[in-house]
Formats: sequence, C-alpha cells, structure tokens
Amino acid sequence: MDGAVFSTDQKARVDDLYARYAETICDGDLEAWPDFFIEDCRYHVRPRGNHERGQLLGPIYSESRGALVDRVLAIRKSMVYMPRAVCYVVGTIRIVEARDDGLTARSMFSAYHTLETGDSEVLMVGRTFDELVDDDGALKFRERIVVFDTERVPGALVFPV
Amino acid sequence: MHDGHPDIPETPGDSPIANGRDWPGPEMARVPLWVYSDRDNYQQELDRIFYGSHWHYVGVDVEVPEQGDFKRATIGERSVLMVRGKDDQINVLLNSCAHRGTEVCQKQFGNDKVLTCPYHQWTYDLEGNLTGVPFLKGLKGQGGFPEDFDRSEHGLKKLRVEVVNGGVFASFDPDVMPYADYIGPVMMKYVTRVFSGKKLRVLGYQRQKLRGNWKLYVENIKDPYHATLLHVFLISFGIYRIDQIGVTEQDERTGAHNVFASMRDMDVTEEAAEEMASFTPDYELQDPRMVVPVKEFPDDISIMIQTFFPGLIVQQQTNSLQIRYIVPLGPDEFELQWTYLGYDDDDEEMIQRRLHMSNLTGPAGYISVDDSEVMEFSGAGVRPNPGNVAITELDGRTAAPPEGKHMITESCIRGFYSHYREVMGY
Repeated sequence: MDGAVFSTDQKARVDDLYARYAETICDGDLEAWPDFFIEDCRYHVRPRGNHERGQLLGPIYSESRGALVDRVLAIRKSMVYMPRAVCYVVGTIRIVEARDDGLTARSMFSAYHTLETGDSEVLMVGRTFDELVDDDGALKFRERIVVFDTERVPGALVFPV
Repeated sequence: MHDGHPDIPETPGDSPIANGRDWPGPEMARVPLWVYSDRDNYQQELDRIFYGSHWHYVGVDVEVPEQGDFKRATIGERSVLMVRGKDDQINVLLNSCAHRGTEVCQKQFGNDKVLTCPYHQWTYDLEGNLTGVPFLKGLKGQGGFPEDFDRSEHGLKKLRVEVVNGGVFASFDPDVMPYADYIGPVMMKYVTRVFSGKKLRVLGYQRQKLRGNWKLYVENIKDPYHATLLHVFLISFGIYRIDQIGVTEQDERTGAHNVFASMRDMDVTEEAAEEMASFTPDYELQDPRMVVPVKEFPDDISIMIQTFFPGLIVQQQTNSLQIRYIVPLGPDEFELQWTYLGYDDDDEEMIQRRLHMSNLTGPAGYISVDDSEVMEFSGAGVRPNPGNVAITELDGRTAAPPEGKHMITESCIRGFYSHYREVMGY
C-alpha cells in the first residue's frame, strides 16, 4: 500500500506503543513486557538468514503470552548471567496496512547492551514485522517477528528485544 | 590433484612445542591455565589439531542437495567450501584462490556451475580443478603465463571428505584414518541413533561469539558436574540431573570423544536434592510445550550429548536435535555455530515441537544462557592467571572412563587433555 495515508490518531497510537515497548526494555521492567501482547500471540526472534530461507528457528520461539511470562520468570529466577542494561532504540515505524481487525506495521531497531565492565556494544540491529490489534481499548501485539542482521550474537541474548 | 598451497604441511605435527612449559600433575588431574591464553600454543593447536590429522564437521549433505550447491564452512580459522560436485559427490575445498590467496566465495550458501574468484576471475570446476585463467596466453602475443604454466598444478586445495549418514566431515590430512576408526565403534553406535541414515532436514542456524578459549566450551560439554548445579531450569524439569539413570562412555582409542546419555526422571532423591542448592521443585510453566517430549527413538534415552575431538557436539535433547560446532577466533574468543535438525519426514506437529524445544538452547536458551555467560566468566578468570592450574579431579585422576559408567565424573575432561597432550607434545 504505497503512499497510503493513515489517520493521525492511528499513527500516534502506534508510535506510542513502540515508544513504550522500547522504554520497557530500556527500563528493565521485564514484568510489564508480556502485557504488550495479547494472550494468543506469537513472538519470534530469528536471524535474517533463517528468515530469508523460510526457516522459523531463532533464539526465541514463543507462541503464547504464557511463554513470555515463563521467559520473564526464567530470566528472574533461573538464568545465570552478568548484570546488564539494554538500550533499545526504535525508529522508522510505519503502518503498512490498516484493516478492520487490526494493523500491520514494521520498524527498524538497534539494541545495545552494557555489561558490568561498563562497555556498551551492539547486541543486535534489525527489523520487526508486527500485527497489532485493539485489545479492550489498548493496542497490543498479536504477532511480533524480530528479524536481526547481527547473526553472530555477542555473548547471550538474555533480555527480549 | 596437486596441492597449490605448499604452506599447508602434508604431514602435520612437525612444528615445535609452543612454549616449553611443563604440564603439571598429578596424572591427568590438572590443566595449566596458559593453555587457554598462550598465543604460541594456540598457533600450534591450529597446525596440529585443526589442520592436522583429525576430522572436522563441515555440514550435512541436505544443505547441498543439487549439483553446484555450495556452503561455506570453517575449520580452525580457514574458510572451506562444501560443494556438491558432478556424480553427486561432496567436495570440500579450501576457500582461497591458488593465484593470490583471495577468498573465492563470500556467500554463505549458493549454487553455480563453476567457482570463480572475483579478483582475477580464475575459475575452478566443482571439484576444485583450475579450468579458466584470463589472459593465459596474454594479448596480441604480449604478456601471458609462461609456456610451462600447468593449470592442473594450481587447483583449490582439496580436503579429504567422508559423508557418514548425512554428516559431512573433512580433514586437511590426506592420510587421516577413516572416520569410523577416528571416532571408534562405541561413539558410532550412539551418534547413529540420531544420524541413522534417515534423511535430515535443517530447521535453522544460530551463531554466537563468546569471549573465552574454545576448549572451555568443549570442557563445558564434557562436564556433567556443572550441569546439575548451574542449570536450575534443567534440573527442575528433570530434563537432566546427575542422579538420573545414565551412562558416560569414552572412545577406546583416545578417550577424547565421549557421550553422556540419560533417561528423564522426575523423581529426585533426598540425598541429591541436598547437594543441589539450585533445585526448585515447584517451578511451573504456563506454556510447557518446550519441555513436553514424545518418544521418538527405539530406546529410552531422553538426552544424549556427545563430543568429538576437537570441537563437534551432537545433542539429542528429547526431540530437539542439534549440532554445535566450535570455531576458534584466536586464543581468547570463539564462535559457536548451532545447526538445528529434524528429519525430512517430520510432520508439522513434530516440526513445531522441535521449534518450541529450541528455546532451551542457543543464545537465548533457557539452559544455554548460563553456559554462554559462564564461558565469559571463565575467559575473564583464566586470561590474567596463566601461571595457575585448574583441578579436574572429580572421580579420580586418570583419563579412564568411570567404573560403572556413572556421570559424577570429570573423566571426559581428563580424556580430552590426555589426547590433547599427546597431539600437542606435552
């Protein structure tokens, strides 16, 4: 839908959602992260090569909000890792298509992590391909496919992106 | 075919000992920390281990199904090409032009009729033979290569190759022993559970760069001691615990290849629970799909993790099938390459199950995050302390496999270093 015009209100709601998502990652407010998704959702993080070959596999393959809650619990309770901060920068957010049942949108992002050593490094750069729906008055992700270019991940991907 | 690269020793193992340091005892129960950081030692590892008389994993045959298909792989620091040639044979060629050493191929995967170096367009057939040299005769009688320039002497370096039930292995040593002898009958018995000859399917790849020496990862996989202590997630779901029914086996020839195989068991004994401070029996998942297996193999082995000298790991973790391959990036860093597999005849339900289970491993794996992080903690701890030693004394001091084949042992690490010392001359 090249050149499609969407209402200022729609664009503002989408921008706000993406800004709050990024802030939640940057703030380390993991417990709030699953609430960006509806219950019956899909959240995949996969390298660009797999994506382009039609392979669905990647670091994260979640097919429900419950799976996101499980991941948060594991990050808090069971995973062993060096403390870190993640800075998630989102840009060029665009509504690709608006339908009665929701929106298709995409964005570009870069994520940096800063370990206890104090050095910041690029964790990932990539794109998100998203399906958004209105969930009781709030815009939420029904699907978020994160496709990253940084195939050789530096260390571990502890926090979601 | 002639060797266009005289720098690669045809008879490996003739370079001098790296640093003249002694290896501390008693027996096989110590590892000097300089092996994780010494640059001369690392260079000797490349010469003797990675470019020497050993077998290395380059891929699975289904990655190059058609004639002309190729995939880039790495052995040590050298890029190689796995190419499906004529007569359906798989060739492994050094990715370095015989002319000026340039990498011939940059793409990860591709298909072509010939391999052409982008620099001066020297062209090789799918077997690595040099077939085309621009301006071979010069132009209008000027220039050109000398009369006695023989193209047949300047092919791409061709590695020795064996395809074993779909797994493709290569060696720089043309006289390396057959793969079956290299891993031995016991390791072959286990690995052919997964590589049964049934056609494979690649579900995808993952890659990580970790700041530690490559051997630290091999040791990690050879170490059931940490698995039951570090990995809260693993032990809480009974995916693996040291007290489960299982076996440790090492190959008879070197002791450096080994397997752990265990049966899933949700009951934990009181004695074991007391030793495992991280054990959390009330851990519950909202979406348990990544830990719900179906029986797939004739036996009851639910987790099998096998390491092959130097840096190949084959794992069956219930229904998740993975290959991990270690690429050294200097003494202080390595790349971990994961290939996730299924079988060609998997139905959609099985593919979904394997994808859900893949959450346990890889850069964001519920289990593997711990190991990735510990690799970096280990790297940070050993680098500045080359004069210190590591203790590998759990269950004895020799490289012999544990009596009764139990898993409360560091014998596989001792086995690795017993062979390593032999190869390296320590």
